[in-house]
Amino acid sequence: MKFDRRAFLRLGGAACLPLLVPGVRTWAIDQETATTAALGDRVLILVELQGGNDGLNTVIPFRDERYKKLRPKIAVANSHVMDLGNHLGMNDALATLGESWEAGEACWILGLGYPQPNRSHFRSIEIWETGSDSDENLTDGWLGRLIGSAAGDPKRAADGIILGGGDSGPLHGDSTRIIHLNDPIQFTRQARAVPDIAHGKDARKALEHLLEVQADIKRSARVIEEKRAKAPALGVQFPQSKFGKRCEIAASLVTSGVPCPLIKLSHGGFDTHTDQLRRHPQLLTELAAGLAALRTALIASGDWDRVLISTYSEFGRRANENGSEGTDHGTAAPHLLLGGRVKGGLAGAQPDLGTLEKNDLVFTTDYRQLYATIEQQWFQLPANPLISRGARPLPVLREKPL
Amino acid sequence: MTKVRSAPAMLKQNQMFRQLCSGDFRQLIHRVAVDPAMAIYLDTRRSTREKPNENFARELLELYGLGEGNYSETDIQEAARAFTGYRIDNRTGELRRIRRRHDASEKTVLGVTGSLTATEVVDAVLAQPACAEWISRRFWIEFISPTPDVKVLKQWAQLLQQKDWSLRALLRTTLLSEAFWSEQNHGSLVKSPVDLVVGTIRSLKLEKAPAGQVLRTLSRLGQQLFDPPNVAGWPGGHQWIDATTLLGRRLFLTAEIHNLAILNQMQQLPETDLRPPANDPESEPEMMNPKDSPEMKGRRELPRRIKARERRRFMPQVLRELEQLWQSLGDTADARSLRLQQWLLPFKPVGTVVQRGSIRDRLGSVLLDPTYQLK
Repeated sequence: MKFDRRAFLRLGGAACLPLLVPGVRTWAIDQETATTAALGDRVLILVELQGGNDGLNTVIPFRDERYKKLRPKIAVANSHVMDLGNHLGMNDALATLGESWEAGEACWILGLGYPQPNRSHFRSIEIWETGSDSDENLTDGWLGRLIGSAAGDPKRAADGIILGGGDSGPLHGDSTRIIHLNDPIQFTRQARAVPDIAHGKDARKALEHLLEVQADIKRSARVIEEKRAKAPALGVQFPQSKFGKRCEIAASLVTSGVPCPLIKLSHGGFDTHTDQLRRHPQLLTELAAGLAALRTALIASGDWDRVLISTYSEFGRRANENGSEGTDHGTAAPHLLLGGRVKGGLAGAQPDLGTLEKNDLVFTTDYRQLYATIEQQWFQLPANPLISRGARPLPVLREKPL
Repeated sequence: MTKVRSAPAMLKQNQMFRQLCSGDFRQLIHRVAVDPAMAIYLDTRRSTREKPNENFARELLELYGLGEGNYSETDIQEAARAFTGYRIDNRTGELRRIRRRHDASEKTVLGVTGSLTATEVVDAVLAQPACAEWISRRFWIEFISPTPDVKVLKQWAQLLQQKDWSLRALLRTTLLSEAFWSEQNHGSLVKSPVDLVVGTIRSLKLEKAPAGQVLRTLSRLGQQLFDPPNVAGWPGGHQWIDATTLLGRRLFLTAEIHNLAILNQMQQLPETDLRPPANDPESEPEMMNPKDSPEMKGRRELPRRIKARERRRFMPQVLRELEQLWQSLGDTADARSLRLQQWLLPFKPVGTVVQRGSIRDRLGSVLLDPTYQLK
């Protein structure tokens, strides 16, 4: 039997728990890959659509008469809809994603949500980020739990990198090492000014922690600097929007081989209570242009098959429009998966416009099915009841790249 | 603030805290129980006889009064019934009990039985020996170390009750205690962003520095005032420090503190001496978060970023004042240097502290020593 490196890593991932025990871990895997074995060399790039993206104007039930009745002023005209089949269409502001859709590398998971939806930005994003039920308070982010005992791997630049503001949200955890980057050059410069101070066990626990974090910063910066110095230029034109720039940094981190399994970027402004027909397409255009450039760069560098991009947002928006040509906070929404191993198409089920609850869509797919997919199929980890909460993975990833 | 969404209510609550923080704890906790901002935050105002909401009752026992392990779930459920029927009076802005929404039937909370109103439940909490101990514990954790000595807590709890629950007396005891002065407890706490930022500003006498900048720094360092992550407040301790906040803290202690020192000087000048910033081609509005912009309105307009011109103009004065501070520390350079460290650091520096050169370099290296982050 012949193992290629990736299959081998996958095995490592499946048997992750024993691999975390020092000594046991080194038995099979060569030095270079040992440290990343628990999660493989795979990367998850999360894109937070801040403010609550309007799902109904993103993936549009354009053949449904009720859609236009619910939104007499802000329904997207058929001429601006790209047919995705199944009576659904994509807002053509996302046109730059057309190529990845055609290539079968883009999947919309429909109707994601959870029971007893909360409509507060603050609370609902917390639910999404911690992976909790509506009436339950968890502190750690779901990815913080996913990384769990594999957190703090010293060969990684960090467990997670947050690009361009926003909090660590889903990555938050007691032992996860997260760095926030606006600009890798600035970060490495700041880190260079941090002195090297020998550290170890100290009776003064607070000082011990402080020196540990300081050493972490030095290490992350060293890895990032070293990898980036060797990496060739991206050779792809990224959009000049804020989001585009974040995508560019994400691309440079992945293509230069900075070892870090989780990257989070955010794209703000989706709280479209007013003037939605103008603002929402702009946001989608920026989103699609940034992601499309990211895809091009990752395909060119040969990293596309080890990257999964997933959007998320605190909620979708109300099915019917409000009085100011916008939409108020709602519930279920579709989210996008993108990557070389994504099985393109539609997954889950579109919420029925005929059975609204308080004018809101009823979710069809528990959002933790998305998390279960990422946990078990992307990172190939055994199901952790604290993450997937019993939800089953969706069939949206390929075993092998195209 | 994200939940309460009423600045007046939050202001009132903050004033109440300031007024009562060194007084009688019993009065403080009674006021908290009927505080409008609290009633919004922990849902007492939505709690009715038919559907009691346990939110406030639970936190009263768990976080404010007793600590986990000193009450049962039944106590919470019963106490929650006492906190039903309170509404915010639109005219006065105060909390009022509405008879028909209040559950006046018999309940038993922490061994006290009766028809129990909010006030009586708070009294029942205060009557528990665990209550004074809990407050003592909070003082220890705030001022001494993360690991309290239970024997001492018991003594403090007794003293607190003897002194009519005077928080001032408890604070005095804490600050005069052997544990507070014991060397092994020095620097065992991590400074919160407020400790660090406000403490540095006060130590260096930069109190005129604009509050807006200070608030932004605090929020970047993880402590947005009036907006704690949850009802338990900021988790604090080690969690204040991660890769991002530590770099942020260093940035504050280098570039930002210089800017604040310059702004502090500018603020002291007469109005006419300041160039109007409008239409300044050099000004950089792009960093501006629109949410943040109005706070300086109606006050003196200060530039958000210091430019070379202002630096040249105001830096000499900043340095003169630093020099005065330096001179005041002792007679010889060595004595001053040592005094500077003793003053600002909890114990010996772990990094390299500059022993010669200008006051600016010496001070900078003390502030950037990791131990400066501790208290």
